[in-house]
Amino acid sequence: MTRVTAVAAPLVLGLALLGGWELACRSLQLPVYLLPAPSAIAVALSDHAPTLFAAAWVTLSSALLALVLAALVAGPLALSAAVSPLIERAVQPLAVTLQVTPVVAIAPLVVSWAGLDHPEYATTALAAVVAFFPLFSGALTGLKSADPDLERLFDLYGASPGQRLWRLRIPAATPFVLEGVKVAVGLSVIGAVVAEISAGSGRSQGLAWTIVETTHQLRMAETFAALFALAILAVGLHALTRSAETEILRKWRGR
Amino acid sequence: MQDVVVRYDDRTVLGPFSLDLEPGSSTALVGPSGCGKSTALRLLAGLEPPTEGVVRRAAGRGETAVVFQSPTLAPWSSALDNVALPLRLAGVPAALAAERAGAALARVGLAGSELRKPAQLSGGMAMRVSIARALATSPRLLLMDEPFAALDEITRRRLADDVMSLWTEGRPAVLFITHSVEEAVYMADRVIVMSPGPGRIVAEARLADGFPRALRFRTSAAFREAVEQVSQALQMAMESPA
Repeated sequence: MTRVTAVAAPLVLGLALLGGWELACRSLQLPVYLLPAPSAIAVALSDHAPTLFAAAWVTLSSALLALVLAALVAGPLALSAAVSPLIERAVQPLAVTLQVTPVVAIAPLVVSWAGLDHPEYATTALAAVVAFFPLFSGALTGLKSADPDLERLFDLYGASPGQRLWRLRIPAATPFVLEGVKVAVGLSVIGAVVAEISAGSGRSQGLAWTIVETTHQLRMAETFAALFALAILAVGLHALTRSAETEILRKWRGR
Repeated sequence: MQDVVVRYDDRTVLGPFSLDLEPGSSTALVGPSGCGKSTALRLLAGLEPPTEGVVRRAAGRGETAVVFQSPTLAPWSSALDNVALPLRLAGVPAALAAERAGAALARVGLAGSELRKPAQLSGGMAMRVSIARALATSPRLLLMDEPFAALDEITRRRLADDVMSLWTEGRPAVLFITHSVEEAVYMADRVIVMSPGPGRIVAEARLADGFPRALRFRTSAAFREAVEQVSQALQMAMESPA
């Protein structure tokens, strides 16, 4: 497959689907509150661009803040679990429980704790909760992934625990940490969206909130516009982390 | 190493086993897989304690070097940093460690590849880096666990010659494990044949010819005879279970 066809194939499919959609809406004369035509969505997108941008920023910033918070907890915790089997034993079941409990189920609780005045606390907290596990488990797996023969070499030369951590375990963990970050970035957006939807109306003004509000008011063209913006946001974040990962790994292993 | 026995979960994997390595000697261990060769090597390295018996090591901390079957390099570090690692762990300042690591790389014929990372090296080159790392600390005891097993015949012969000429410089006591009888006879002045697990010494051959091996040593009658002798001992060991 050439580069051109690789880029063109999904574009052509997307355009064909949009064309079919547009045609169906016009020929069936569907009401806008059921299914707006792509052209109507495009108009909504350009009309409401400033508010959509602002809403996207709200969602994005709480997801990114959540990532930072989750990393600040997951990193040191993974380090201590990697050094001490006792800590690992103590933390692991809790981490898994946190991971398998659906975020939708705890969202209403967290939203009510945050209160009506500060729904953004809830979005950030929930996004951080879902981002925590991939960061933690990626780092812990990575820290324990070093080649056993290399570990033996460190024994042989009498390496101190600090030297072992700094010169062996942390560099060996790099690919796993990057993978964890990639997963966590996607999940943090999902966490923020779930929280916004749970908060419903209120002061949270993110993209998911826009989707809920406009659906209630049957402004479907705007709903789709917000959905589109959310998809772009997620795809953009993913692409960004993936290219960062590739770049860092290239440096890490030298090709 | 005196009357050493190693058991894992009541299963004896090695011994009773006694072995003395003289300074400056080169000893090869051959035996069927699972006879505890690698365990013996780890005991000599001090990486593992024996279940019974005593291991006395004249070489102190940092005076023993191990070359594993795979190059065992840190993929994130350049060849130079990999070779410098044991020196850095011993507290040698970065600049001096880099200088000595560079010299060690040059000795194994890798001058100019200092900044390459393991993924950018061929199998033979990576093994050379591994050997340079072992030699960088000027060890008194050099242990090699099937160091050439993963390499092609041409590369392993060349590397065997290079290792031996490097060995004559510092003359550490060398012990290496191999599957290849020819390699054992070529590289060692003393070949020890082990029985299937739990491994014991069943035969020992000493070779008179000195080092470095003469150009046509592989085709000499003495070499062929020694290979034949060791092969027979190995075959008998494998046929009669211990």
